[in-house]
Amino acid sequence: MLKLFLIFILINKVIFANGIEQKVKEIIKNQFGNNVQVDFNKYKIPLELKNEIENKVKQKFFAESVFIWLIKENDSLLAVAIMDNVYGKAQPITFITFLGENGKILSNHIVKYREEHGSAVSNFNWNKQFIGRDEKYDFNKIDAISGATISVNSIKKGVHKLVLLYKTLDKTELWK
Amino acid sequence: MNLNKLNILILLLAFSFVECYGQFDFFESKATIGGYGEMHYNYKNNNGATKNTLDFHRFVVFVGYGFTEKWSFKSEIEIEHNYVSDGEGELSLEQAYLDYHFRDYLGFQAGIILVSAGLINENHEPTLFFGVERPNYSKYIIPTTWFGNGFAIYGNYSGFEYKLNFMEGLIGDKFSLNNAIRNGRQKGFESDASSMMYNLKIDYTNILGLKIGGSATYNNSISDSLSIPFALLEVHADYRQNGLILVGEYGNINYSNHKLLKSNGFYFDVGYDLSNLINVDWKIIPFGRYSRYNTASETENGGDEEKMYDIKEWMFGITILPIDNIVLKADYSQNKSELSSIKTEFINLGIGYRF
Repeated sequence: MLKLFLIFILINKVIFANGIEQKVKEIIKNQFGNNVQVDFNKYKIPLELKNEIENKVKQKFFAESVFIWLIKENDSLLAVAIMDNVYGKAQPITFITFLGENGKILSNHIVKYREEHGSAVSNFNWNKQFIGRDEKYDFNKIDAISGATISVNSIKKGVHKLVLLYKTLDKTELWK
Repeated sequence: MNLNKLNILILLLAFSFVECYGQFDFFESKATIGGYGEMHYNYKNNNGATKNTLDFHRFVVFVGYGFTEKWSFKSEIEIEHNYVSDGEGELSLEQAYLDYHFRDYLGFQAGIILVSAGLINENHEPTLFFGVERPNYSKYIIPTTWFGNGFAIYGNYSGFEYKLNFMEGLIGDKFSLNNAIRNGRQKGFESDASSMMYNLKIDYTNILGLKIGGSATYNNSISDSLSIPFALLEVHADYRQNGLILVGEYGNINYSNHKLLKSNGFYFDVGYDLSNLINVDWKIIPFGRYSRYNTASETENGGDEEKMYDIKEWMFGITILPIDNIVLKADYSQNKSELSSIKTEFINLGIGYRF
């Protein structure tokens, strides 16, 4: 019995990593390898900019701040990752969008999903649709998923907001 | 097991449920509100006998509350046909359950829950299906909205979504040739729990645009005399890619100890979103449907009884979504029983919303 519980706990804590920080580290490692430096910042969005983006996309930011990671290799910036939340049917969905210097999306990932329905938005194939998109793209064209309408609509707006936010970040400061 | 081992076990169990939160602990308890509604105009012509109705068919309010990242409450209250009086209209609590989302692969629910059968029972908002009314398959073979008191275990892993419901059964004495199991639903009203129903659904969603799966439901349904076991098996698929939409469902019910032996049916929809061709913001989706269902496809008496409720139906129509949350619909359909040469015509118009 004790052994069974030990196995259960091991599976929970190691294989099904559940902490947000741990999951983000895993995603960065899978995408950029082990030899990158990662700087983390909590970024408070200027109120005027926040209102402007919210009005354009028709979705509120989850909070005043988003979480930003700078991924560097040999002091050269490879990507900027921005993490935010959007609401599903009742619970927040945590997602992270990786952007390159040209403002195009390198990848998008669902970090944490907290509901029964709509979890198909976590699928790699669905998130692949965001790759290469930038602020000029019509995010309404992202394909729907049967049974995940609320989640799909929330996330495509959420990603659109981050793409617009990224455009305003101080590039000279970031990419130096 | 000695006391030390028991203590270790309890500590480990507690540890396994504890999460460590740091700077990303942004969760806030919050109430959410949503809902949907639909108003229909229905015209029916049965061999010259016509009927026109205008009906605010459904008004639904969804209220949820996230207590923590794992614990939440969800509910759905519905008024059908605008008011409730003298057996007309319906006010019902279609969902009201506590949800414990332990991990993506394991969650639990308890309360008034939906049966996991078919595409529409769990996702029945008007923006999500073709046609002003729900498909007749989703009325006569899978009796949407099918809900009741019970418990569920659910999860998803590697693109597989699964759910096992253990909930109130049906009243077998109310099964009928023309309505199959529909009138046997207890709808959570002081449910007779003497025979619980088992319902298992598995869907696969890891192929972009495709949801494919099936479910099995079994209940030794309640009866004043011999209990009436039934088993519902169904398969379903929904494919949406590059504007093309294909939807199909097939279901079969087997009965024992009843004059009904079998009910079955299917429908198949094809639609195409024209906004992919013409550069407009609105989604404009013409569609066609073919359906056949028979609530008494096999009976003890056989003969005409098995033909009377064998309905063939075709439909074409249009679904327009100015935004994802609002829908305008129109459809024309004809259906005919195998026993009759008379076709019944329907013209339906509808508006719907969800938020």
